[in-house]
Amino acid sequence: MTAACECRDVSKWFDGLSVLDHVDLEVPEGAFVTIIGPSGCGKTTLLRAMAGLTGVDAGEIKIGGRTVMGPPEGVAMVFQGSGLMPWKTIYDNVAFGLVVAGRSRREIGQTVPRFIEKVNLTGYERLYPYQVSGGMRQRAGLARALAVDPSVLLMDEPFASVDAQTREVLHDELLTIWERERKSVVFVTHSIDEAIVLSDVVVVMSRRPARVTGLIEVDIPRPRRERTVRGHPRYADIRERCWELLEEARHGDQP
Amino acid sequence: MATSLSLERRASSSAPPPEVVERERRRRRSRHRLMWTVRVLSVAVVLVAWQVYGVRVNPILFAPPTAIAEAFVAMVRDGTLLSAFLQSLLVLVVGLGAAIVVSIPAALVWARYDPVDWAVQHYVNAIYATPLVALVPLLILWFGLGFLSRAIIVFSFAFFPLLLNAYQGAKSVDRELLEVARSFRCREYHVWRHVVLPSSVPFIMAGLNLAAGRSLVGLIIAEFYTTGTGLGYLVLQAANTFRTARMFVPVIVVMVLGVALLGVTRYLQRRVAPWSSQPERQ
Repeated sequence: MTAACECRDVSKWFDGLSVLDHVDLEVPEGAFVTIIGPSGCGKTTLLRAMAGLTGVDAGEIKIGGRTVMGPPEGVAMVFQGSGLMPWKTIYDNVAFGLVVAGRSRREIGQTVPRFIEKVNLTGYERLYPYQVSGGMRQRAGLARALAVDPSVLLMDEPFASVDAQTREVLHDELLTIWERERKSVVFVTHSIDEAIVLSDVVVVMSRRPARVTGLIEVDIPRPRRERTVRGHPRYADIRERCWELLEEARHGDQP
Repeated sequence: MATSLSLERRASSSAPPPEVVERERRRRRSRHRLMWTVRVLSVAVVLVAWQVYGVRVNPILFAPPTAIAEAFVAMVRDGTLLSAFLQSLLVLVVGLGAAIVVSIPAALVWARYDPVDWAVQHYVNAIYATPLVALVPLLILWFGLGFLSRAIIVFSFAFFPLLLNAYQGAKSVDRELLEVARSFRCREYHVWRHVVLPSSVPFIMAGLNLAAGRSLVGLIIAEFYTTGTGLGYLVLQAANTFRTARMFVPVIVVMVLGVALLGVTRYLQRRVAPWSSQPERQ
């Protein structure tokens, strides 16, 4: 399997402060990879670097075999704050990526309703973001990213600001969609449970400067649902290992 | 799934019983009636007090509402009011319109390109801090006593609030939205069209609100200085001949014009940027 995304020896500094420290990471094609780490470690920075929104000072990031210099083709991002335009309806927000890519009106008219349906927003197309709940805004953000048919989907703590119950619903929806589409996903979160429920591989990063502390394979069969994963006999064990690695990352040897 | 469930429940939930609806409607109606009673009373009290006081004062210094109404009728009959009004309106529309057309693109370019910002920031601040009234004689010296001069004075009064507000708007674009645009590989045109311009709209509307008031000030000052036309001239003429009742008429017309302009800009704000009057999303 080729790598959808690979980071080779990536380092980055902010004002002389090391944020990413020789990070090596490989995301196999079609895999759902989650990055967890103590808050304030460089995990979001790493994701933003993959998205081409910020540069790296050393090493290189490749997506689809090509070095990232600015936002690469075939990559779409789901933002923490949903990133919807308040002046656009849900429909127009979902259509945004297609419109700026210059797709034909017919194609947009066919594609957008399909993705709105996928994220269960049918009936809300004409509403503005301020008129819908936080969970629905995140759904719309996801639909907008999926609509451009990216090969890599980058998700930056997309469910951090929605309440716990909505989050579980969103997890199941995301699992349903992902198990059908099998995009390569890099998902940043600070929740161990979220990471295990969703992903094939959990990447644990150390506290700043961020380094990859360990990889944990989540060998729980798919199709998954939040409840089935949490009830799975392997769950407690995997969670324990994530926890240990995270503790190590938090208190581990600091230079 | 949960959302669709809760949706269904909302759709199928029974309407409140008719007596509850009726009680609510009656309460709202009576409150509405009270509001209007208070308003009408407030106007009546002021008018009566004005009248009672007005008739006792030397008519050169003050005028009661009845005298102003008489003057109004007379000025409508002989056509002076209408022609002055139309002259003023034309100046206002041209001056304010030009200010809108020029200021908004200028502000957006200014805000979006740092070198432009560095080049003009201090000038704009300096001119904005200067009382523009002080420049009116200079403008008249340059552009004469005619229509052009008046329109330029109105333009200069309306221009800066519009420019500065649009600039603020373009500067305060949500950074996450700019990143969204970048991550979707937007070309510069699309960044403007989908992010910068719409996010500036509420600021531009607020600027328009300010500019509407300012442009009326500019209009009257221009007509004082250039003399001969418009509502400002009517005020001046009546004051110079001590016909105080006639002086109030154009003042009231300008006041009504100002209120109407503010009403229009507020209406536009609600229509053009419905999201901006809503509580901020998280």
